[in-house]
Amino acid sequence: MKMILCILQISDRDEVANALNDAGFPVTILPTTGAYFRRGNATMIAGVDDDKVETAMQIIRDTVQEPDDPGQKRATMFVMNVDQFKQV
Amino acid sequence: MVIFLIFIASLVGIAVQRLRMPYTVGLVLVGLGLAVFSLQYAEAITEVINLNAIRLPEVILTILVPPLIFEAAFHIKFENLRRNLKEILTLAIPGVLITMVLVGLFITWGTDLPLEVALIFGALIAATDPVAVVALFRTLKVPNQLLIMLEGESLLNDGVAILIFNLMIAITLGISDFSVAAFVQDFILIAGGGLVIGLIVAGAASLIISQVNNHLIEVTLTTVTAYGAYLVAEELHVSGVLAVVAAGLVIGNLGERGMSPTTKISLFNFWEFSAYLANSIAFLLIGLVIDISQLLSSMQSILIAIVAVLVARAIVIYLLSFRFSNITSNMRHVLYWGGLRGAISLALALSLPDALGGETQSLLQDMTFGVVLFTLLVQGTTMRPILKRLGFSTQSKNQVSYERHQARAIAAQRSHDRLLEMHREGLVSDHAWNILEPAIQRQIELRKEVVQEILHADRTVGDTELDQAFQEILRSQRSTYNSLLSEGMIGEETFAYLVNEVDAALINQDISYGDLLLRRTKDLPPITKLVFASVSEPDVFETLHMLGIMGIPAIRLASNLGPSGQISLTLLIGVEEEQLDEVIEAIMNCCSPEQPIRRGLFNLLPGQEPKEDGQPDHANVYVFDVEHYEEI
Repeated sequence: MKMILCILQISDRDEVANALNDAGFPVTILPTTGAYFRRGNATMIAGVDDDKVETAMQIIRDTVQEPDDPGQKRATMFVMNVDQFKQV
Repeated sequence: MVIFLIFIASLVGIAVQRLRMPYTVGLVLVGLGLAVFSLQYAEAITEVINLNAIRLPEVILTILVPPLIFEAAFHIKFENLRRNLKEILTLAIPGVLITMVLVGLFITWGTDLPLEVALIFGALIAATDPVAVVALFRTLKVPNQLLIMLEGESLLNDGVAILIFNLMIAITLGISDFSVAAFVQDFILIAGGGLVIGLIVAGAASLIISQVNNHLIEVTLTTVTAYGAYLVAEELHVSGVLAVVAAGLVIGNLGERGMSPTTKISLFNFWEFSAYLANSIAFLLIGLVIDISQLLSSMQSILIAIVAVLVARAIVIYLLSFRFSNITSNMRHVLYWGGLRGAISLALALSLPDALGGETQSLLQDMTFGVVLFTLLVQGTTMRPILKRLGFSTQSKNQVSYERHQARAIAAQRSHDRLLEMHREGLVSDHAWNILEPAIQRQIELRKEVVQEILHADRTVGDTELDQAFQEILRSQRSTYNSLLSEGMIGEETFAYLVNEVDAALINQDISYGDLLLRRTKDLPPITKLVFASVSEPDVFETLHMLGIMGIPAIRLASNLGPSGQISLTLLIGVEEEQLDEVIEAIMNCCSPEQPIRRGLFNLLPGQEPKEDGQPDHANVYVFDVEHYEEI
C-alpha cells in the first residue's frame, strides 16, 4: 500500500476529494497553512493499493483547476510506502 | 529650493500617515496649496527660490525621471512580465498612441489649441501612474495578475509616452517634419536604441555587482546604472526612459542574483526613498509653478481635458483588452479606473520648452495639473469601494469575527494596564481596584478564549497578524545588532553574519509549499524524504524561523489541544536525503525540553509507541521515504 499526500489549492479541495471518493479512494483532509505567510492551501492523504497509485494521481491531475494566477502551481504530490495499515 | 521641497514632502508624509490617505493624494493637495501660497507671496518666493531654475526642461527630466522609472522597473519580475506581455504591450504601445490621438482631437475640438499642441498634451497625459492604487491593491489582496498588468502597463507606457512626447515637440517646433512613415521609423529606432543601451549598461553593471560584496558600493553602482543608461541614451539621441526601463528590469532580475540579502534590502530602501523624493519634488514643483488664478480661468479647458482622458482610457481598456479572454469584465473596470496620472505627466508638463509660448505652456501645465488632481482625488479615493463592490477584496466571516474579538481582547488588556497605573499613582482607591480588577481580568480571559476558539476553527485568520508580528520581531533583532555593533559588543564580521541571517529571513519569509504552489520558476531540489514533526506551539516560531533561514519550506497541520491546554503543531517538511540530518538536528535544537508534547494526529500513523501523559518530549519526528514526488 502507498500513501499519497497531496498539497493543493483550497479551492480544489472539495472537488478533488469527491473525485477520489467516487473512484473508491477514501481521503482524509487536513487543513494546512504555509510557514508564516501563506494561507489557503489544503493537504489530503489517501491510502491507495500499489497498482492503483497512478490512477489516483491521474484523477488529481485531471481534477485540479487552472489557478487564477497563471504562474501558480496547481498541486504537489508525495507518494510514500506504508509499512502497516489497520482499519478498526 | 530642494531642501525646502524635501522639508515640505516630509510634512506631507507625516500628515498622510495620520489621515490614512494615499501619499500622492496628499502631495497633490499640498501642491494646490502651494499654488495658492505662491500667488500671494510670488515676489518673496522668487527672491528665495530661483523659479527660472525650475523651468529647465532637461534638468527636470534628467533628475526626476530616472529614479521613478528605475524603481518601478526594478520591482517587476521577468516571469510576471512575460506571462502578461501581450496584454501589457497592447495597453502600453497602441494604448498610448490611441490616447494621444483621441485626447488631442478632443482638446482641439473643445479649446483653441492647435492640433499639434493638443497632441503634445495627449502624449504627456497618456503616461499612467497607479502608485496610489497599487499600495491599496496589495493590502486588499487583489489578484496578482491585475497588479502586474497595471504596473507593467504604467512602466512601459511611461517610456512610450515620453518618446512620442519628444517626437511631437520636435514636429511642432519644426525640428522634424511629420509623416506617418517617418514617425514610425523614428519611434522604432529611438525605442529600440534606448532598450539596447539600457541592456548593455545594466548587463555590465550586473557583472560588476556580482564581483562586489559591499552593499554601499552595489547601491552606488545601481545609481550609476540608472542615470548612466539615461544620459548615454540621450547623448545618442535614443530613448533615455526606455533605457532606464531596460536597466531597471535587468538589475531587478539578473543583477540581484549576485546580491546578498543585506544588499537587496539596502537597494530596496534606497530606491524607495529616491522615488519618494522624485514624486514629491514633481508634485510640489508644479504647485510652485502653477498660477492659481490662471488655473481657475482655465477651468473649462481642464474639464474638457478630464473628459477627454476618461473617454480615451475607456476606449483603450474596453476595446483593446477585449481580445484577451483572461481579462474578465470586472478586471477591465479596475484597469480603467486605476489609470491614474501622476509624477511623469507633471514632469513632462514642467519640461515643456519655452518656444511653445508662455501662454500655451501655462495652459498645458494647468490642464495636466487639473487632470492629475482629478484622477488622484476622485479615482484614487474611490478605488477601495469599487474593488469591494466588484468582489475583489473579501474578508471571510471568520476573519471579521477574529479581528473584532482580538481588538476587544487587546482593548480589555490595555484598560487593565491603565487601571493598574492609576491604582499605583493613587488615582484609584484599593476599594475600587478590588472591585474593578477581577471584573476586567475575567473579561480579558473570556475574550482571549473566544479568540482561541476562532483560531482553532480556522487557523488562517491569524496569519496576517503573524506576518506583521514576525516582521517586527526581525526588524527589532536587526536594530539590536546595530546597537551591539555601535556599543562595541560585537565586531564587524559578526555583525555582517548576524544581519545577513535576519535579512535572509526577511526576504525568504514566504518559503513554504503553499508558496511553492505560487512560484512556477522556483527550482526544487529532489525531495526524497518527508518529515512529520510534532512541535509544541511555543517552539514552532523558533523552528520555522530556523527552517526559513536554512531555506527549507514547511507546512503546518492543524494544531491539537491537549488536556493541560498545551497546543502542538505538526509540520510537514520535504527534504533531500543530504539535508535530512541537518533538518532533524535543527528541529531538536529549537524545541525546548521543558515543553511536553501531546499526541494527536500521530495516533493514526504506523510505528508509533504510545507514551504516558506528562512525559516530556523534545519533539516527535517521523521520516518517510518519498517514492515519487510531483508538482503539477
